[in-house]
Amino acid sequence: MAVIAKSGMRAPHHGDSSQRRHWRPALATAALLAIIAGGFEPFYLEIFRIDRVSMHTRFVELPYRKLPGFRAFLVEARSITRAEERIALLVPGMRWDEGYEYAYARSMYLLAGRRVVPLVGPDDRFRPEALRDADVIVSYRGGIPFPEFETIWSGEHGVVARRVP
Amino acid sequence: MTASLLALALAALLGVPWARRLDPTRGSAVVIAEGLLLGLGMSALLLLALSLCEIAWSPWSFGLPAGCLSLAGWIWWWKGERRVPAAIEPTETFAHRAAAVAVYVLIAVAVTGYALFATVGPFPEFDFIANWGLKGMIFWEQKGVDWGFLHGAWYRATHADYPLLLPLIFDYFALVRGEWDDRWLGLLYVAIAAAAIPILAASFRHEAKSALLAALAVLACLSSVLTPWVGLADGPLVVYAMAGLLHVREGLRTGSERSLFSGAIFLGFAALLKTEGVALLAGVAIALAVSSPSPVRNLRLLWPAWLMGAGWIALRTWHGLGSDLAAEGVATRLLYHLRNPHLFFGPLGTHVTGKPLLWAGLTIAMIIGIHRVVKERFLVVVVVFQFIVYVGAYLITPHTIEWQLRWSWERLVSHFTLPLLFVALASILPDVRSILVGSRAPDVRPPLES
Repeated sequence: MAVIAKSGMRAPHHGDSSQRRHWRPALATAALLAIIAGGFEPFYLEIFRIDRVSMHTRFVELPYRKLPGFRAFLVEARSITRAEERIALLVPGMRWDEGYEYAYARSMYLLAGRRVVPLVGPDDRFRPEALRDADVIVSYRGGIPFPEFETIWSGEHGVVARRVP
Repeated sequence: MTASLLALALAALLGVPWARRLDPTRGSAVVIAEGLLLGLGMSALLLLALSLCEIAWSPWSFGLPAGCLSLAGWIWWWKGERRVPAAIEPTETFAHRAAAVAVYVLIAVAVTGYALFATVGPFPEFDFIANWGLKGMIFWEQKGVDWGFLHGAWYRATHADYPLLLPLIFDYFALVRGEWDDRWLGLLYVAIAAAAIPILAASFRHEAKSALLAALAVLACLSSVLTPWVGLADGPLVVYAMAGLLHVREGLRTGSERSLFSGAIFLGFAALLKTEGVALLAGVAIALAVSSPSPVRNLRLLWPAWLMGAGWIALRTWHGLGSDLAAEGVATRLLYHLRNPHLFFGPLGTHVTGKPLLWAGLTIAMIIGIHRVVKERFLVVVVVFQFIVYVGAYLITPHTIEWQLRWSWERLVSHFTLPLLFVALASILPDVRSILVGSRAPDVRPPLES
C-alpha cells in the first residue's frame, strides 16, 4: 500500500468490484428466469389434456355465436347459389348496430365468390338500389316480403329466394 | 393436413437453395428455416405476378414458373461457393449440453401444443373472416387478385389498403390442396413460428457462445413467436421482421453485404405482410442513419426492401386503395387527441398488455445490461420508431381511441416485443453465463463497421 501511495496510484476497491461481480450476474439470471416464467404460455401444455373435439365444435361456431344457425344456413345458401350472383341479406331488425353489421361482415366470408349487397348501411337507411341489384335474397329467421323473388329453399334458420326472371 | 404439409415442403424446396445462396455461412437448420420463409413469400409473389399478367391461377400456371425458380435456385446453389458454417467453440460440459437438449425438448412440446391449438378448427378471429381470410377466399374463387372487390370494399374491417402477401400465401395453400381450407392453414402459423426458433438460436448462440444459454434465450422469446392470433398477419410479421432485423444487425457489425441484402429481403416481405411492415422500413432507414457510420452505403444495400415496399405502395395507389387512417381531417383528429391526452392514456390503463413478470424481467435486463443495450442502438432505434408510429396512428384514428386500443394494442405491442427481448437478452447473457455455465465469454463481437 505504501508503494501505491508513493506512486500516487489509488488503491483498488476490492469490496466494491467483487460485490458488482456478484450482484450483476445474479440479477441478470433472475431477469432471464422472470422473462421465461412470465412469458411462457401454459395453455400450450394444457391443450394436451383438453377435449379438442368439443373445442373444434366451439371454434366452428365461435364467430357466429350471436346468430344461432347462421353459419349452417349460409353454408346451405352458398351451395344453392352461383358464383358472381349478387346476394342481399335480410336479418331480423335490419339495424346496422343491432345485428346487421354482425351478419353482413360474416356473410361476406361464407358467401365469398358471390357479391353480398347490404340492404342497410351504417346509417340504418334501407337501400332500395341494393334490392334492385340483387339476384338472390337470403333471409335469416324471416320470410321474403318481396314478390319479385321466389323461394328456392327454406329451412329451420331461413329462406333463400331468387329473382323471378 | 397432408396437403398443408405438402405446401410447406414445396415452399421449402423453392426457398432453401436461395436461402443458402444468400448466406452460405449459415447452418443447415437456419437455412431450412429461412428457406421456408423465403419459399412462402416467393410463392405468394408468384401468384401476385400471375394476377398482374392476368393469368388465372392453376397448378400449371403456378407450378411451371415455381418449378423453374426452384430448379434455377438448386443449380445456382450447386455451382456456387459452399462454405462450412462457422463452428461454435464447444466450451460447455456434457451436462450443459444435455440441459440445452432438455430445454429444446420443452420448446418442441410447446410448439406441438401450439400446433394443436392452431389446427383445432377454422380460424375464429373476426379479422380473418372480415379481412385476411375473406380476401384470400375471394381471390381463390376468382383464381386471381380481385382488384374490383378491393376497390369497392367500403366495410371498415375489410381494410382494402392492407398488403396482400398473407391472403396470397393462403391461396398458395388452397392451390396445392385444390380447395379452400381454413383449418389446416393453421400449420402455416406453426411452421412460421417454428422457423423463428433456429434463427433466434443461432443469433443467441453467437452472442453467448453457449448452447444452453441460447436455448434458454429462445425459450424466453417463445411467447412472442407462438402468437395466439392465428389467421392474422401479426405472427408472420413478427417472424419475418425479426429475421430481417437480425440480418441487418449482423451486417452492421461485420460489414457483410450478404447479411444486409438478406435482411432487406425479409424486411421487404414484412412490408408486404402488414402496413406496420412498411412503417418498419422507415424505422430501419432512420436507425441506419443514426447507428451506422456509412448510412448511404447501407441504405443502398437494402434496395430489395425499398423496392418491395415501394412496389406495394405503387400498386395500392394505382388501384386507389385508401387507408381509413388517412380519412379527411387527420390534422383535426391529431390536434383533438393531443389536447385530450386522457383519451389515449385512460384506455391504455385498461388495455395494458399482459405478462407483467415478463416486462419486469425485460426492464431489469435492460437496466443492468445498459452498457450493452447502448451498443444495440440499431434495434433500439427501430423499436422506438415503431412505438412512436403506432402511438401516432392512434392519435389520428377516425375511430375512438378506446375502440382502436381495445382491438389492436396487444397485437401491436407484440410487433416490437421480440426485438426488445432480443436486445435485453443479448445484453444480459454474458452475465448469466458466469452463473449458469461457469465462465464469462470473451467479448468477441466485432465492432461496428468503419
